[in-house]
Amino acid sequence: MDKKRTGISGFLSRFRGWIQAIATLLTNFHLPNLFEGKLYQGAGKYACVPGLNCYSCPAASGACPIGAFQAAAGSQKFRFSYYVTGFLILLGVFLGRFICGFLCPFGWFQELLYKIPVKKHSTKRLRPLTYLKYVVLLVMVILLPAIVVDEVGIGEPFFCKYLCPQGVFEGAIPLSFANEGIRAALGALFQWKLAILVTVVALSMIFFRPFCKWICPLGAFYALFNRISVFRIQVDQSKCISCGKCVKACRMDVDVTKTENHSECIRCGMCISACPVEAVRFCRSMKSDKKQKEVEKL
Amino acid sequence: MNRKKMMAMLVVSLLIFTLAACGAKKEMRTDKEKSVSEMDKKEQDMQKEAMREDQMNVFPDFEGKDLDGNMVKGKELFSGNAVTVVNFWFTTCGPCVGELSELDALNKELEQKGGMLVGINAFTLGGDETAISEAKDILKQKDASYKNIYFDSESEAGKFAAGVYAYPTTYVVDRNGKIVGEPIVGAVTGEKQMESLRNTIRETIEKDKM
Repeated sequence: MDKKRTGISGFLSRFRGWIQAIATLLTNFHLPNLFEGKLYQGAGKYACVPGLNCYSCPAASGACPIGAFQAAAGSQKFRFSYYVTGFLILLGVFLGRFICGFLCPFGWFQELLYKIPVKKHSTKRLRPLTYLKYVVLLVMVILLPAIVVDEVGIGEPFFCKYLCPQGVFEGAIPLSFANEGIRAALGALFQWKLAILVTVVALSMIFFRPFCKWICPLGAFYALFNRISVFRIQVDQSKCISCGKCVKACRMDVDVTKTENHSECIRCGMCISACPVEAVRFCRSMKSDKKQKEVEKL
Repeated sequence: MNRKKMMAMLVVSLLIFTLAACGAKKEMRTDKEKSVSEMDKKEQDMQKEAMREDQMNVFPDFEGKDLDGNMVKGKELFSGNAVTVVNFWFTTCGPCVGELSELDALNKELEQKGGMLVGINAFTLGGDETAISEAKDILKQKDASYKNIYFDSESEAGKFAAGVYAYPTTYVVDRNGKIVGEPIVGAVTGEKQMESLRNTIRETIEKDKM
């Protein structure tokens, strides 16, 4: 990097790692609980945090939106959680997948793993897999917990129970270390999910954020709002020299010059740092990409 | 770059600070062992610790009610049984509701041995009427007829219940109100859990006969 960007775009893309660290700390504020093996159960747990962060992490300050949604959908009284959905739409409309890039603890965890110096591989050819996360969202988070219920009407949190590696990483592992009773309760389900976690960890070293790209239902939800969110990325076509450095820099396989706010974009700002002519920037706009372009043409 | 370095140093110093704190405690302890007068202190500390542990091992006494509104006193409840199995559950917890029938069967078995099983539904603590009627509903649907109780959430027992964060959790309590062994975390429908619960129950009953 020869020249440093100034302003909000430069700040965000340069200090992203620190922002991720701070967001992770704020999301998991009750650190002493990690050693005592107990959960914080105060008022904070009535609210959701923006990123994927297990409620059952001893340090967690709030609830996981995906977990909370399933808990409501699986209860006898409700089949759909309007409260959680509304909260997620609000976040999505304002920030989109900026949350993935800056605020999600599990996203940061995968990025740290990616820093381990082993041979890296591109995920460009695996693009079809990016649609899998929408299936996970629809089937495991929305449909199954509401439909598959026992005789008294309780559904299981399918995603949390059978798939989520964050739950093992933040919940089961620290709790079982500090708590004998939980250790005694570990069984086949734990082994299955530990295997998923190990797979995700291994893949994260060779691919950039594999869980975010292919599996994460929360990322899938925010992705739906990426094209319309207020906070977004913009390319000034009059400045762009079509050098292709932004495309090369992108780890989420997005060509920002073609689709500025692609659903796969996590707004990490790597393209912003890579741009030699400062044509790419973060900005806020209430208009959709299409409308914005029409305005610019006038 | 300077800013980055400063931030890095800040984080590192924070980490070191927390590390140093742990080390300091240990040193203080070894210092205590040195002087005689402080030996007494240490002994006192140990006694205090033992007392605290004792308290932790006692199910806090309570004055509560069963779901039909009948008075239930903790001491009377425990002293009337060779063993009391206390199961913490809540109404929307799948695994908790899933084991209600097994618990009912266990209660019938315990009754013949001079024991008893009681349920405590976390939603009913404090006596919320809707929560109570919903809990009763579920118990009825699952044919569970054993006693379910609740008490004030602000009481000692209420605070104890608030510390239960894994559901279901099952405690075994002896005639003196003491908690025996480690609580069983997770449904007793699992073979391992049921076996360990039965072992603790057997121990408690045998000790009671002595």
